[in-house]
Amino acid sequence: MEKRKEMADEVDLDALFKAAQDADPVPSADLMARVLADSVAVQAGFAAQAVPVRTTRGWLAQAKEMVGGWAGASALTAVMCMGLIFGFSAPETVMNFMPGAETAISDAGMEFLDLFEDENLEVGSVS
Amino acid sequence: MMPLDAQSEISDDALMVLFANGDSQAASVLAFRHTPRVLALALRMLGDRAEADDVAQDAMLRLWKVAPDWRQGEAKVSTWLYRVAANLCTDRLRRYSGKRRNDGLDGIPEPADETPSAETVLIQQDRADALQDALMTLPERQRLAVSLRFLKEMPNAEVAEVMDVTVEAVESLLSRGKRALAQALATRRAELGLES
Repeated sequence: MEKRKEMADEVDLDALFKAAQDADPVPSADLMARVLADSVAVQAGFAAQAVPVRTTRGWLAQAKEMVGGWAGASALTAVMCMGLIFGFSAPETVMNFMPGAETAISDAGMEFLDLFEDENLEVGSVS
Repeated sequence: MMPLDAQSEISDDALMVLFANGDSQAASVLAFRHTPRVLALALRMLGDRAEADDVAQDAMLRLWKVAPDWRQGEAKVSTWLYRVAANLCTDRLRRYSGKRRNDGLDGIPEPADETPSAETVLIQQDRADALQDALMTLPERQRLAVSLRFLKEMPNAEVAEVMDVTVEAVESLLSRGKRALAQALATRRAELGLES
């Protein structure tokens, strides 16, 4: 008896579930408009974060920015000059520029500098 | 731009990627595919059309925002949305506990004349309304489990994922929920044309 009642209840509920599925609400035009408007607003936020700022400045200005402005360019130039001087100078001249450097330079470094002894190049002055 | 006939074949995961990359048509497809589902669940849970609309909009807004971080192949978009909608409904129910309106279901329009098919439509609408009335008497967790399993026809495993519980817990909720529904509807069987 109990089992029959349970089965009857099951059938009843199935009929009701079916009716409810068929009666699923349809979103109103207003709701869909709101949902789509939200999607547009959120997408605009993605675009604003992703697009880099375009510049119309010239290549010189951009190059200057890359090295950190005129101060950075000056420092870079000085370092480059020093590097050239060290590269072409005899070891003794390097030591004159860098007091105490002889103790700091490794044996490998000394061997490297020895390579330039035979070049007999003039030492440039440091500005 | 996607051709219209290709839209139905594109997976939710692919649409999420397209949306995150600025494809507005992907948004339309996702919106029309999923808004009705979350709206239906919200209406079952809240019994109030205006509140259900707000929950549906809120759930879809969260979907839009999560798109850039959406990981393909993990959760299904529909499962994720149902969980978000269920949590939003829970928040509202707890905020407005005690105030319970039931606007019924207005998916089927009123027929203009008395024909057998019109009578069938009316009976179906009465049954849907009666079920909604009975659903609103259930505890929240039973109502959610029953709505997902029998109205959205989700397998138990997916219901468990939405509700973040075990399958056994879902089965228990469904068993108790169906018993409670049958009890709530017992006095209306004749009225609803359910007595043989």
